[in-house]
Amino acid sequence: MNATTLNLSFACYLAALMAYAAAFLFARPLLRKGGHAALAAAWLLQTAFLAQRWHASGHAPLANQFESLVSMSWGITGLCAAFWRLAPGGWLGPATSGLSLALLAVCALLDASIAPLVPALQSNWLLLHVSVIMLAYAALALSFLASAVYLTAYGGRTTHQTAVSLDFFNERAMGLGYVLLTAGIVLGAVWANEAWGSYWSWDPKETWSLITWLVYTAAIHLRRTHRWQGRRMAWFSVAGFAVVLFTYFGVNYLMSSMHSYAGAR
Amino acid sequence: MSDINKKNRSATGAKFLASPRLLYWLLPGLILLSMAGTLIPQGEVPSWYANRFGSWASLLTVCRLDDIYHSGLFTFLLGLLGLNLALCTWQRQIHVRLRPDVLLTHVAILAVLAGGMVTGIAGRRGSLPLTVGETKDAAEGKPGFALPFSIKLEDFRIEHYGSGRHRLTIRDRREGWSETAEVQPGVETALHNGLVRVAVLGYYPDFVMDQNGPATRSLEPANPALRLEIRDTQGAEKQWAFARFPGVHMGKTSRYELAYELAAGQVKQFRSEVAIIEGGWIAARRAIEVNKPLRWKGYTLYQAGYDPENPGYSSLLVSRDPGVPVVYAGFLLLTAGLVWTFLRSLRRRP
Repeated sequence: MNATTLNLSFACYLAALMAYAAAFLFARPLLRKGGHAALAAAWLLQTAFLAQRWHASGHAPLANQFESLVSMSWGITGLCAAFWRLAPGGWLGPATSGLSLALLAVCALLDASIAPLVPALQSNWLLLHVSVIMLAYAALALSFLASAVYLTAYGGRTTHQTAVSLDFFNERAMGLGYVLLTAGIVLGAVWANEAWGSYWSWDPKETWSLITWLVYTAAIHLRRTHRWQGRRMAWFSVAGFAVVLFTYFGVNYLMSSMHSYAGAR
Repeated sequence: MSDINKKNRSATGAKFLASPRLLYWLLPGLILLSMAGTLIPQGEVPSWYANRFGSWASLLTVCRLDDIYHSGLFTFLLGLLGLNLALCTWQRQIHVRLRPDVLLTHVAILAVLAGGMVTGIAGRRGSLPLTVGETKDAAEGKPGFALPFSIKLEDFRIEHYGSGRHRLTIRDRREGWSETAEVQPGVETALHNGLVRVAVLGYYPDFVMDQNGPATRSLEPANPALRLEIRDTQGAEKQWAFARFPGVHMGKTSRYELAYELAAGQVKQFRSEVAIIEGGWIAARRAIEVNKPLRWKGYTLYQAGYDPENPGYSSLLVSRDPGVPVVYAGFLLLTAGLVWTFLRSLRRRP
């Protein structure tokens, strides 16, 4: 039942992407609405999957890479609804469907079994820290999507109405992601002090979270003080999201870390 | 003329120190050093670097790349970042009056850096390796330090999820075959193509013989035992199998020889039961678990380690960090400042 729910969600994301592609190719607005409906259905099914898993495991579905990745994909689609009105041009639905589909495809490669929590994860901080970090990554993923669309479709036309709205979307999503990332790192530091006796140990995961934070700090300051906008900020957002991906995946697989339980088993 | 040049130069230097431009030099520097610290293993002994990096090892050590985050360069860059932030904030506040949310955010980051400095200067961390029954009043470390109380480890337990898996190896003394299977209490398992059936009649995690016969002292698998019934074509016999005492209660007349192994379930929790002793008296008895440290008179004791070879050994970590309240205050202000900034930004339209 549980795996079926996630598979159905995957199918709905795929259907949404196909409907958007068909709407683009055949210029049929009805197909676009079908895409919206499939995207909403995919998110609802993902919500049901996470709820079922939470109930079955007895803890928030944030304890390993599989669970956190499903949650991140869920966060991206959820935030997509919150940002919907800021995204004229109809790019947000297909971009979100594509990214969430890709993330769920990666999930298929990970161990999905439910395992009891190791002692270090038996804490309410798990829910607080990991959920906030995943939402931060989701917001930064939306910032990346807006930047990728900007660079591919409007790279040279910065005065185009949609390009301006994409830049504004990028700023807003990055701003939200930055606030959430800060809160997530802060919550993680407080938890680390509770579990490991130090709020900061220069563990690779902590260090790369700090690097991510510093990159986005630079981006936000450059926008405010040097008026970096449009193309340059879009490239910054793409680079920032590459750092996010390394922090999330790279550290788990390439480095020995106190956060190693976050990796795939 | 040279005085004017010197004054101009120092004025330019001071201006640069209070300029956001310095931030754009400091951030890449801190990012690159931080990255290097995750790529080069930190805090290993010199011989390890010599083995790994050969002739480059001495250069690594001289440049403090073996301990980047405590190196002079990294500390200098962090200090310069704090100074730059303080001067920028101060200057902006005087000239243009910073928005309160931005001021709050900047002050918060300064508080976090100041708290980190307090931790570095006044914080103490040490380990307290103990075996059950042992008492210590000083933490080991570089340097070690005395505690204003003593800690006695009264008990240490590793709790597991579930009772684990029972692996039973059975050998037929007459025919010579042997087979290993996973068995479960209350379940019959077929062996040797179904000719032999083993039923687990009872599982005793901590076996003991009391007045009423076989019993278990606790649910902890301290002395795991299985009561088995083995049936074959010639009849049935009952046997005991002990994980820690193979061969005990195995009659020589029995046809089957048994070896029982209990693979413990995944670790659920490490739990140290300690007594805090002050002036020769027990002031309190507490349990320390992962995520549940013990706080006593400004010191915090954490469950830090165990020894799989020595079930009575537990390693505690002792910490006293006056920087924590300052850092936490910074964290709180930082989060509040950024949330405020974000909420303000929602008023803007494209």
